[in-house]
Amino acid sequence: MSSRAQVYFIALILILSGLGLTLYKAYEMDFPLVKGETRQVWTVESVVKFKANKETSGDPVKVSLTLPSQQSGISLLDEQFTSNGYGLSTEVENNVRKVIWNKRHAVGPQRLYYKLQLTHDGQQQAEMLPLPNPAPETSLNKDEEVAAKSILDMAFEQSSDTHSLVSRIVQIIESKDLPEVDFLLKNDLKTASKSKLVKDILALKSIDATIVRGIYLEDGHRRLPPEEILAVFINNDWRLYNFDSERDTSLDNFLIWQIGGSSLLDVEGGYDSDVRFSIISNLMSSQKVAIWNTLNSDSDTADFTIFSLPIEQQSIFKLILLIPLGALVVVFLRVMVGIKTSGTFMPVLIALSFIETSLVTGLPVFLTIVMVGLLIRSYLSRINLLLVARVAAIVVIVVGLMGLISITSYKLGIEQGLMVTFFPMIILAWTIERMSIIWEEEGPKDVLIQGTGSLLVAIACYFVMTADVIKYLAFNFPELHLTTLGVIFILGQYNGYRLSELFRFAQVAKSENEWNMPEPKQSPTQEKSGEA
Amino acid sequence: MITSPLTLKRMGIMGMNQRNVDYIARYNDRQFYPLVDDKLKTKEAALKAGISVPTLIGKVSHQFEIKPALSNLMKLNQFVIKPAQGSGGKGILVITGRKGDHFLKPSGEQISLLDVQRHISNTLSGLYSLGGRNDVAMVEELVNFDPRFNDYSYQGVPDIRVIIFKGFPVMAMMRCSTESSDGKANLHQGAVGVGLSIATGKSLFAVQNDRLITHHPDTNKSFEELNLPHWETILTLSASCFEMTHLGYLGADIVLDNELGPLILEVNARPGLAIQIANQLGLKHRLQTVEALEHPEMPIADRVEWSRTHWL
Repeated sequence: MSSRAQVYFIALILILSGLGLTLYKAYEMDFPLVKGETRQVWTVESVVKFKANKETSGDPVKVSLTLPSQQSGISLLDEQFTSNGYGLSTEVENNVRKVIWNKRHAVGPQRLYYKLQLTHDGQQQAEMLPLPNPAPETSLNKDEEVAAKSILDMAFEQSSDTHSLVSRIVQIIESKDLPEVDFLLKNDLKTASKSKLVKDILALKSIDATIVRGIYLEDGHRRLPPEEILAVFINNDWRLYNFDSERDTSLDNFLIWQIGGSSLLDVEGGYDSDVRFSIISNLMSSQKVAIWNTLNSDSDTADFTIFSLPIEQQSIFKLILLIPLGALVVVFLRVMVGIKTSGTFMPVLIALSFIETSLVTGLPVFLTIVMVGLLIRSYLSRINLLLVARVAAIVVIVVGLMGLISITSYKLGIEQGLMVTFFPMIILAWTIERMSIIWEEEGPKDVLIQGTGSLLVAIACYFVMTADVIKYLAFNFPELHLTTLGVIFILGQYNGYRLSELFRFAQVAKSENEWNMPEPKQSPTQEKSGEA
Repeated sequence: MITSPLTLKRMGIMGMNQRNVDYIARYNDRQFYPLVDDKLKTKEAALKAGISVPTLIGKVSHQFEIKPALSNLMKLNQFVIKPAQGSGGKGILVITGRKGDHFLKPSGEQISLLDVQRHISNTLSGLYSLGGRNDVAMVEELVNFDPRFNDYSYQGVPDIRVIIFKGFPVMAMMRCSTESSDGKANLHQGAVGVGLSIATGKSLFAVQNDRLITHHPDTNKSFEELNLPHWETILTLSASCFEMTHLGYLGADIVLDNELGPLILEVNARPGLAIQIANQLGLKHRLQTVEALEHPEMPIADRVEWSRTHWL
């Protein structure tokens, strides 16, 4: 493969992988390609309340709360715990996450918080349910079992299949048609749960059921207890039942907190324990949601993003990630247009300072410093100084000028003048030095050409680097810089004419027309020189 | 005034990008650059290869050598100070005479010993060199250029640029300084470029500021009559730079000394494109002809002969 083909090949791979990664990130990881997209984010706050066993001296307390896991249709974005002086730990046991709060001495009423943020995109979640237990056990004692049996018998008589049997049991319990219901619910002090009772009754008939605890994602709910949904295994499928007849029994907008198990909350060393949920939804930028999502997902690559850096470093990268585009603009303007600049990438650095100061204030301040600097430099060239010393002297002068401009503009009430400090002093000093040499060596005309060239390139860089779309894409899709690199590779292979050369060689082309040669292939000079 | 890229392409005009990508990057190996970028090294190599160059009087490599060098310079009437790694003719100080303690530049301007000292000091600190590297100042004998060319140039020495591709002379021009170019031979600063016939060394066209002219703007001398002596020697000297530098695409800068004949001033690994304007002709067709040669390996004399028979 020729070297040229190699470059095109590499450039193509770079461009495609840049675009590919960007599209992947946009469509698979839900990073929005356009700034300003929003998504609905749910915030669920759970409050654990209990009273410590002793009102005065304090006893060791251990609170364990089951936490929701990642589930299909719902993405958990962020979670926060408050500890209030408790030791905090999370552990995973049988794929169930738990938070455990410990305290040696707890006195009086206690409150612990767990806050969760999530997005919900409405897909079914039934596959979360476990495989059924073929021989379910009941936790009822002898007396209870007798009572339960009578409920079961009645329901069995009044139903035709398993589904109607379960519905009937639920109805009987809801309406308390039989005195046994009261007896069972009162006796069942441990849970006092109707779902639990149905589960136990069904176990007598060897029908497996499990209790799904969680909450419905509905805006504005406050201090709700966890909802329970009863899943009954009928005809090789889990069917869902609940005791609030107005609700449909799908898991569509249900945040599953726990499947099976006896309770969400387990408190040792306290009483009157209770967990309540408050839910609100709000709109958040999709970009923020996507970042959260990336950072909290379990994949190994997730940590390898700019967003995992502290906010301060992120804002530095916001600027740094624009530099490749500035470089691209410089390459384009030099290779395709042919603008002369003093110092290859000096315009990018000037553009960076324009970003800090804004162009309107930055440009006049920059021109003032360079012009005054040139004046002083013209005196410096008369006294004998070594080059490094002279540039250093200009650095000092530039600093002085910056101070002067800041103070003057402040006194005049022009706050923008203070922005002068954003200019890189060393770069300014070298710019002045270079310009002054060009002045001495090649005359003011060249200073004007190269100075204007540099400024034009800097301004072009500035506009590219401040365009909202570009700023947004450069920071959120750094992968796109692979594409930038590929484009730079291709520009580096461009061997066609520069725009400036169309002017430069225009006279040669015109002379061809003037002589009106019959055959364009024959060079005009040969004819002419033949005469000479 | 603007023209279309298609016209330029048909005429075989070479652009800067094509020169860089297709010729310099392809035919000039980086490892050979230091030899031409450092004029001291070029001079050494040229002497070894038997190529005539202006005589070196001395060199100043360190700041502490400036003082003793100045006392030597005081004894001289004429000399040239150059940065060894200068680019684009920057930092060349020509002294053509003395007036008491003062030195005379070709323009008649007087400068003091202090000015000369500062010039050397600046040169050493890299003011005129590529990338601002520390440099060496070389002191050379002034070329006494052929008086026949007095009227073709205002103040400066006219120099001849020959483009050598794979050892074949492909295009040549003479650069004459003018008043508006301030005695410098850079075309974009207003010097006159005279296209020269490769076959004969006679003038083809004269161009100043992209306009065709017939007479020198300051001396009014007609370029029609320009006919360079020693043309064969000039071409042979330029072509031999190929063996000396191993550069496939180079520009040889030559001056004509009254007594010594043609001398190589410097070799350029990145020769400019203005020569196409002076010749009113694109380089590309000629370069492609040489590229198409099956056996370009010939002795220097044969290569010069080949170029002279193939091109005007």
